[in-house]
Amino acid sequence: MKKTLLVMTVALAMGAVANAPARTKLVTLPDRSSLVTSLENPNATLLYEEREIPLQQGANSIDFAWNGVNIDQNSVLLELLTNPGDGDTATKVISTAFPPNENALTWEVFSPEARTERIRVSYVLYGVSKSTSYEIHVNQKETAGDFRQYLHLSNASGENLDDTVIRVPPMDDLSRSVDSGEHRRFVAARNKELPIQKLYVARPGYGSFLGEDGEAVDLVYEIANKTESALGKYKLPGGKIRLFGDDGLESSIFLGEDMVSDTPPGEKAEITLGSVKNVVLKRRLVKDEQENIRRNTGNSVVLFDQVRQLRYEVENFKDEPVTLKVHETLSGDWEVREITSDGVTTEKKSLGELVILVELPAATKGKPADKKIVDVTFRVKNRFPGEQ
Amino acid sequence: MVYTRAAWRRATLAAIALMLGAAAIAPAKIDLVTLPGRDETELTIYNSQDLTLVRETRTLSFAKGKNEIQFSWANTLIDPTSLQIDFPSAKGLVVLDAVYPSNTSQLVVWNIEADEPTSAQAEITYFASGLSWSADYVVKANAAETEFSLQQFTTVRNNSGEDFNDAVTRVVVGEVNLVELIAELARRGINVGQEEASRMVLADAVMEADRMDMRKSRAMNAPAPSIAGFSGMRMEAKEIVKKAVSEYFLFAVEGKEDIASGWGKELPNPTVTAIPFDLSYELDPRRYGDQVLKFYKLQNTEKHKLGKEPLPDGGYYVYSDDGRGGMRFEGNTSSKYVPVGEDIELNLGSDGLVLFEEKIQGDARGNFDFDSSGNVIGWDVTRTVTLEIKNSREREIPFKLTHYIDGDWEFAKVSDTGYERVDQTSVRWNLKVPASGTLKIEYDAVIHQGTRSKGIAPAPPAPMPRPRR
Repeated sequence: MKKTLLVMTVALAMGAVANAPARTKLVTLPDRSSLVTSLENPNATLLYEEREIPLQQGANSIDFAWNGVNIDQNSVLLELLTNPGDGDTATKVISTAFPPNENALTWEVFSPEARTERIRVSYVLYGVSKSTSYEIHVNQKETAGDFRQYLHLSNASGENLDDTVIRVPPMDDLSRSVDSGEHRRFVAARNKELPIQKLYVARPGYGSFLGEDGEAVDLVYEIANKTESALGKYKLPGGKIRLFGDDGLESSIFLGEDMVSDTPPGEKAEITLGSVKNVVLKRRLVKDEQENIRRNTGNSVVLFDQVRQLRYEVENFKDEPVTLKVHETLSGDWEVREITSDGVTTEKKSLGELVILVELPAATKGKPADKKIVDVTFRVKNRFPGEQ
Repeated sequence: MVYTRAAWRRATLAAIALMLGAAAIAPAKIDLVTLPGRDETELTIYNSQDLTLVRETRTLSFAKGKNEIQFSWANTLIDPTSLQIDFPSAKGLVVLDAVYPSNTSQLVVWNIEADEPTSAQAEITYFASGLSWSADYVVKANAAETEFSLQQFTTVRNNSGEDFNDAVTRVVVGEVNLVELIAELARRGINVGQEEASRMVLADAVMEADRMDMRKSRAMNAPAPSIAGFSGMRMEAKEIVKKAVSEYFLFAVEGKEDIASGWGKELPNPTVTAIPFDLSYELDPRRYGDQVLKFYKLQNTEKHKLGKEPLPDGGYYVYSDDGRGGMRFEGNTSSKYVPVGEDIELNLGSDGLVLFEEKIQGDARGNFDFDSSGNVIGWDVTRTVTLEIKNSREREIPFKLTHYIDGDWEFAKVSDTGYERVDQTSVRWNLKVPASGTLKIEYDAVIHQGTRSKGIAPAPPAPMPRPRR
């Protein structure tokens, strides 16, 4: 199903113009010597093809027509590769004519002598889209995985891309055919031993303390787009990622999937796979007081420091030590005043987010899991009345 | 004397009938047996309005006394109030009046008084609707994105209903004011009344001024010389002569063109090569939104191998060498009219390879002012912010960051990267972001509130926004 057509015509009468009836005089249909489908631009697909065409001395017309494909007419460009330029010996495009009610155009090309010219015709084609997905087969220890990055190509353009070079840097060029209506998936990158960090992550809501009901704890795998992970050279485009785990029975199970956003070099991506039951977090507000209160002459509070103590009761029912990562949402000019437990570290991500990492020992078989209680006291300075 | 209709063009524009020695308008419309062909047609096409000034030249014969020239059209939108006839090189010919008969709206009859029998070249001018032109540009940058070639194309589209053959084509850049649309005037035709009469007077004045301009610029429109051995086929792409006229800019295409009705025709200008430009990634949220955009920037100056004439507004298709022997589509964009000396900014959109992240790290209040009742009436907020630019390209990139901080503020501390305080609310950094790396800027800005703010009336304390759940 070929929807674009390049036709060589020669205006038999010298000096004929491009929109003359000579456009119907087919002389040769030059073979396409190469077709490149460039998907580098995130919003548009560029196709360009090169052909050798015989030119007669004087005026030549080259028709380009399409039917049933969505080509940006203004983008269609003819380049002369063998004899470009403005000199006397150059081949030149004199004009381009656009016929009425047709998806077509005609180039009027002048050649000072009969010869063969290599031309490149390029155009922006709509309907070809690309996307990225990932797959990781995680080892039994959940420390590394076989990582594959896939490029998906969907061709809804109406044009068969026959024997095309598919160019999506940083991938190497691929030579394939992608028919209209076809969806193809290519392996864009692979690392059989991608290091993985397994985490348990809770993201409790601001001001929402579920107490005995417990907070949701998600299983998260963290991968790094870094050179030590044999990545880190290019951005990992956003897309769906699926994880499979080695079940120890010479097979695997599906662990879950997530959407990851663009991950630039040097950054980490978190893959959230769903809630877990073997790590439990109960979070309570155990103190909410005001300090350094300043009042006006009417005895109303005009300024105060807010002191909040949050309690995290954490239990690990797994037979291995785990790290629980709590993303705590905060507001105001806060600081951590006190942490009551060992094995806890904090990292301020921003004014609105504190990450608390709690190391939990493995559960002992036949015994109840040790409950670790962590009290974290925050002080928020210079609150105005009404602020929480 | 009865004349029969001669060859009638497809679009039936400009049938000219000549009644020799007629004393008055005859009741029946009569056409000349031999239709005088156009000696020359000139199209002056505007891009700011649906307006084309058509000037056609025909050689007519006159008998002594009163002659009638009849001009009719069909399937073509012509403003009848704009029709004029003139004899610039003939003596003894006087246009007595122009008559728009009541029973047809697409016909005019000029009464011409001739001192003696003569043959003269008549210039007929009118405003037509349906022709348009646009400027398009193709930019091809080298792989290093330091230089590009630029080719400008002038595209004329003819939806007028009339074929124009061997037409001198000129296009005009600039905003021209019209009291009424030409297409509307053409559809309405002549409706004789006071209002219409005044319009016609106005149209006459405008037309006369245009005719004077045309005569001045006619020298530019000489046909291109033929190249021996190629039967008139041009060896060069047509030169497009450019000339300033008042506040407008005229682009005259060398030679003559055939532009059939319904067709468009694109004419290339010579390519300007090796134009130096600046690659720039930019973030300016209030101007462009939250995405980092890629730009090619230069000036319409001789330093950038341009600067000879303004660049008409138009669409740009931008490509670059992909370093693999092929080309990369950088994007298509449009640019406004660029006068000589003005900046050219080609906004290529986001290539997704440069990301920006802003994080507020602190918002500390202090330096409180209290009124006599002990209420807070002023304070400072020290806002600690990190700005991160993450570059996924394998090359260092220039990055222009325009960042906004509202209110009365000053920096208490800022990364040693150099910045420019543009105005009260904006600050700008011109940065270099390392290849496949991240550049971080940190600052503390003290923002004065209430009585602490200069010249701003005290405001009641506003609660801090609560974070989203």
